[in-house]
Amino acid sequence: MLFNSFEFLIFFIVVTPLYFLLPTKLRWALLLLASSVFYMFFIPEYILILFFTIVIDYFAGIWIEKSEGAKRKQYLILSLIANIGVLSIFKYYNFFIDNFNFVGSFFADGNGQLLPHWKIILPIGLSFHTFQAMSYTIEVYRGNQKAEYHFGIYALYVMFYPQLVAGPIERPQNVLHQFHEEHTFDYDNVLQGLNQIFYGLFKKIVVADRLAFYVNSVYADVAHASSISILLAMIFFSFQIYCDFSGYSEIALGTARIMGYNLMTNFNRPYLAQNISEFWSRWHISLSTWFRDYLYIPLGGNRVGKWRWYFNLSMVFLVSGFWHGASWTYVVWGMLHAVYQIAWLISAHFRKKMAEITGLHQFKRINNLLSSFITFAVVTVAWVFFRAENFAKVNAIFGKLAEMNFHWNSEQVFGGKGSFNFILSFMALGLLFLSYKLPKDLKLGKYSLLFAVAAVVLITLFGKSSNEQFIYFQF
Amino acid sequence: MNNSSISNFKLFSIKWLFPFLLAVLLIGIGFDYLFTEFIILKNPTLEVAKVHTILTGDKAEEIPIYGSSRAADHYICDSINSNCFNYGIRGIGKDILVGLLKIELAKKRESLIIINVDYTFHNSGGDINAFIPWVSYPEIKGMIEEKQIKNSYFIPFFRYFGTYENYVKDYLNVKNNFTTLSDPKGGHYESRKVPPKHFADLVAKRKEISTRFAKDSLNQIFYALIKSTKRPVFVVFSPIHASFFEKFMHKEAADVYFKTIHDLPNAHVIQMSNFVTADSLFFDTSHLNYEGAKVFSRALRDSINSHIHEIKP
Repeated sequence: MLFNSFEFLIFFIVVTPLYFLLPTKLRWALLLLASSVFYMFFIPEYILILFFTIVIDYFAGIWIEKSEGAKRKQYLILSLIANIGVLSIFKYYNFFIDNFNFVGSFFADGNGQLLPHWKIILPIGLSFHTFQAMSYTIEVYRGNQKAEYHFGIYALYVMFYPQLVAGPIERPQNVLHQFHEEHTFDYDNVLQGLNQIFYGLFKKIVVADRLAFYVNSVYADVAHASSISILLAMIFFSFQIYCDFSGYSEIALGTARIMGYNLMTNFNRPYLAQNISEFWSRWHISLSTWFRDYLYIPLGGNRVGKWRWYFNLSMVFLVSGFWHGASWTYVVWGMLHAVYQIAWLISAHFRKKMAEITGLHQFKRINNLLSSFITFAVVTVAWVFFRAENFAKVNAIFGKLAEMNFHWNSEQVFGGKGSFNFILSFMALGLLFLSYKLPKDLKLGKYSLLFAVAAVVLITLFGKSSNEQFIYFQF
Repeated sequence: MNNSSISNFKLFSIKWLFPFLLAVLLIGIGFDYLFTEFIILKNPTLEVAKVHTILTGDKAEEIPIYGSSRAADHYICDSINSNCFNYGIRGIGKDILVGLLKIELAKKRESLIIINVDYTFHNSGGDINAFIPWVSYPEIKGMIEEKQIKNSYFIPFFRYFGTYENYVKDYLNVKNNFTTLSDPKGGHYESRKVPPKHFADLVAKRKEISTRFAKDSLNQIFYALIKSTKRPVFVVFSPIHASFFEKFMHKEAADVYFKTIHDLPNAHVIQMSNFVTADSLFFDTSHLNYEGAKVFSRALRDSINSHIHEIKP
């Protein structure tokens, strides 16, 4: 079920009041049932995959807590194998097969496939709930979280519908206890939650889907694009993916908040970051911190030698790229960010020197603006690898850009979608920038009503009814 | 619910929920009314307004021209007959054409009807934008595929969600002739020049596209509708680029079918598919530009005038 669908509106209107009408001890059952319905709207039988990992992780958590010594580790490994195994089979099997066949073709006669493809659709949000499930058993193993003995509540921890298919990837310490607590209908919470939902819908329907219209058109026909349209498509995609994903997160947080649950913030205005490191502390925070806690720090983090530190960073971004998608383009996207990070670290002295020579350090605002611009530019370049279906498309994009054809051809500049859509795309971006004037937490007090009405009007008037799926659903 | 929840819910209902619903209702109904009256219905040459006129208009002497964008782009009413009105609507196929024809034939008129057809004579489902405000009309409900009609189309304000820009764009285009020249009698003509190289690309692409005459039960309905009226009906094949026929199949079947219509006493099929050959008169391989439309419309007038005496209503 998509957050931006009529079905979800009905679902939300039914589930939320029911939640408050039910006695506290039964609420988990309603939420679990609702989450199952929510998930089964995509491909119903895939809920069995979820059930499989839930059962294993549930028992693994209890066994880890009850065991001592090496046994604890064995149960943790069992849980990790189950989760990573499911992810590998459903998400990466065909990727491995493709690469195996590619390598094998050098040795085998003919061009036939050595191993067959598996015709399967990736279970929606698999990477998200797998990571969330793993964080549970890891935290129980580390002793930071008690095992959950209530099977329904553990299942709900993995399946809670607001964040089931695209995060935020929660930690048990933050969420599990909330399922045991009584949540009252709180006026302020509800208002804040509704504001978040409206803001998320605005980001998705007014901004992301509008920009997608242009971006998809240019990416579909790179041969007829100009350097201007390619550049615009790159910039638009940066905002599209931001509004698409952060819009989803806002709706997830808002939906949960109305029922009294606090989920972790996933985005913090990432394009205002002044360096790549800061960007990653503002972008997809729940995933960044997951990698920090469960990969980067266990590898030694930055408390190691210089080269080992760079290796650790590279590993995190390599896995992050691979987490996003079973394709080499995602891996390159991840590695590019690793290169950015390392370059940022290596150039610290040089940058300081340059700032002193140019006198830029005296003009803080200009310096900050320039830093944000450079960060945005390098992130935008990396997004090409994320958006393009293959390296041929990446080549075509950068090839067109390198042509430096800035000749004005309106058909090309408008991306084949007309001047009106072009104007509306910039208007959508303007509205997004304007929305940055709002308080980050969207606690708007007496202006909540005005905000909600304005959001409904803006969404209805300027929204694209393309029913575009959220980009991150595919992960 | 505990007491705290109940008091908070009351507060929420009074301070937010009811004012919110009331505001959305008032803004919605008000905006919907203004938008429908002053954007959609203000200009009768907008496609959405054309559908409204087809449903409600009843000028006895009017000569309607029906068809897809090829009708809208090709027929200049003043060159054909001063009583003509061009009801060409982008994207419509035989299925919608049959529906519109049913509405037309239910009117108490005796005037001539001109129908533009294509060799493919395919069904298309139509562009829903032209029909959204009128989906509650039974004639439209029967014409549009059920799956195309969303529940939201019956809710004021929200019914135009995602399509406001299309109506506004069309309105501005028609009012200001931004991309096409608009005729107060319904036609929209392409005045932009297509560079020869671009046109050559279009021709090359067209040559790769396989098309064929659609044989289905609607053909018989279309035939029966024309047969059922005493009004003179001209079925016209307006010009199309020669590249269209490169991979076209079942031409003979199409010719046979349209011959049966031609043989009806009140009907005449005018074949002008190959009437225009110069690339410079085309906007793309399916549509003439304004100059092409002028050439075609004048010739069509002569053709209708020379054949009108053959019609025996």
